[in-house]
Amino acid sequence: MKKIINVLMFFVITATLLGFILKQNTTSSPKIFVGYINNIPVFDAYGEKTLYRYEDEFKVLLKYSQNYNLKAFCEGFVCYEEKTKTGFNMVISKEQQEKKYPLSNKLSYVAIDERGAVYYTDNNSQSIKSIKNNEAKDIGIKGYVLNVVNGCLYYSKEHDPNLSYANADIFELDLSLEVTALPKKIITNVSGEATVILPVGRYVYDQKLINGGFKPVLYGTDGKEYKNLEIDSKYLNTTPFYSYQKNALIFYDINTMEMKEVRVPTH
Amino acid sequence: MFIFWRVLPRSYAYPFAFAHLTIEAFLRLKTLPLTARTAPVLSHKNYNPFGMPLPGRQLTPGSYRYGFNGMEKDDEMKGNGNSYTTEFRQYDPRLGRWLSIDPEFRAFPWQSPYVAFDNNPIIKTDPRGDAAGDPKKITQAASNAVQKVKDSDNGSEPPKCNIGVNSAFTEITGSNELKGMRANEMANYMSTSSNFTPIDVSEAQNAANNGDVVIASYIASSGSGHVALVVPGEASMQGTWEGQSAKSMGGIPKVMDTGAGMRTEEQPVNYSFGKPKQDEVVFYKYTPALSNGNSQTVQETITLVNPQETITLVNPYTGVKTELPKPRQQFFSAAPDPTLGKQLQQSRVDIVKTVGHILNYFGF
Repeated sequence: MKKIINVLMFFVITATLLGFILKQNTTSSPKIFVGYINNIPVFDAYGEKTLYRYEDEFKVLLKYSQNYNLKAFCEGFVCYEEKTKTGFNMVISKEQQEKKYPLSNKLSYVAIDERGAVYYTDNNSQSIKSIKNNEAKDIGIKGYVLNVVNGCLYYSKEHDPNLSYANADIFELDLSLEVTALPKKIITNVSGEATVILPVGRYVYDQKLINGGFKPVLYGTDGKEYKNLEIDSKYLNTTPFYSYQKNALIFYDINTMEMKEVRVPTH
Repeated sequence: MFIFWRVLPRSYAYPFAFAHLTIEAFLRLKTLPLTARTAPVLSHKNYNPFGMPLPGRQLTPGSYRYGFNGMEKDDEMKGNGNSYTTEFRQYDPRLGRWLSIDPEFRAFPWQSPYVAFDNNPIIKTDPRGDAAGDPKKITQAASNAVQKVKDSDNGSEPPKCNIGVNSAFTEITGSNELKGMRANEMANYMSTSSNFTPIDVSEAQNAANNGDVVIASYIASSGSGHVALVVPGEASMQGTWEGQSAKSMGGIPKVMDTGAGMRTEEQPVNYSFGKPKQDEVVFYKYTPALSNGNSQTVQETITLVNPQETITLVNPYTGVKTELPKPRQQFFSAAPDPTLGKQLQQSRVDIVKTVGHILNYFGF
């Protein structure tokens, strides 16, 4: 009798603990890739207002305020938009420290680098502005900010205003050269809606109009098409991301978080 | 593990062996993809085709606010799951009928204004209570329109967005009111016609999923403009719309597009309209029954002249009265909410069922 009770007690305690641990670790809400921390991909569970690190499973990185709308993430620096009574605030945060910058418009087309500098497109003038060391300035270029990768700012511009559909040229601006730098056009006539600048190697992913529809293509930064990708449509509802660990472009299904790897060269 | 077996008496070793296996199983479970794990079921409910809950086939049925077809439950009326409230009408799933007449009854002269889902609850939905929609019809019409445009191509893909949209629109609605119009003309017509109501981009995908016809339009100051039909499906989480990320908008709607170079049954709308044009794109929902034909929206007021005999509809603009036949008498049994004990007794889990019996015995 004692033995049975012991076994039963152990079973109940273990099951309770396991249930608790599983509940803490599992998350089923949709998540979107937003950036990296120490080369580990970070996802925004926007319904939960929680950021997760992804290393074969999702682990909570940080939770943010319900009033915030996450715009960009890089190495712990987070850029949020906050709606206020008079307009909007841009909030730049790292490790509980926040700085707020009032804006007259919604914050759109934003990127943040690993030092917390923010680049965004001003809605009124379409010019790109930066906020660095608490100072906002117009960098003198018009375009739609895409991302900051390896010290270069990537942005897009409309390829041909006569075309109704999404058509963009992708530009690269070396930020280390500051004012003397001239932007360089690297890819022409792509969608500009699914652009991924691969941080390793010289490749860019985007979609191109082929045979009546947009199809995924991997480009070299020399502008040449490197490879047309055959990807199941269920993985194309989100923009893929590059995985340093797997050295691959990862496509994922937002409903199941099922992932599909596409190996890319590192040179 | 071996040490435990040697050192401890057998009676104590069993639990450790069990724990070892459990932890190993747990570690293996952690390596499984997220989809392979199971989550606790908080509630479930089985319905008959018209949405009546099947007795005994539900778990904690009162805990969730929404029910059949995503409609909001109104349990205070007739007990759990026996009444639903929507934007326009109350619905009784036990009868499979709405409790008041269809606000768009003129669009459906062939059937009773109390009929729900056109008597076809498997295929159609009506989450607002105004008109049963069939999203599959839109998908099929979009597919047919793209094929029709492709068949008319001669090796190139010139702009035919108006032809694609008009073809699908006519197939879905039976209306020819967009026939022969170019994209700019269509957009201008929709902006002035009372048959079309502008809606926000965030509403477009849900409207299409409910079976509503939604057209995205852009007027070009020079050129022919652009139109695309919103198709049912899952909203896209790719890219931006007017600078806002898809996730911050809850997704970007998908459209059928037969514009220049485009012959696609489904793609995110941000692929159909480039970034500089997006803030000028307007989404129009087709709402024909709200029109009196004079490009003025008419609001109907219902006056119950004699509830036992007739219902009279009075048009506030024209003063015209419409007599409707006396509605069928409907009787409802106002079943009270089952007690907690009785609800727990319906559980499939034995221990919960037993707790339910005990609570019921003490009158809870």
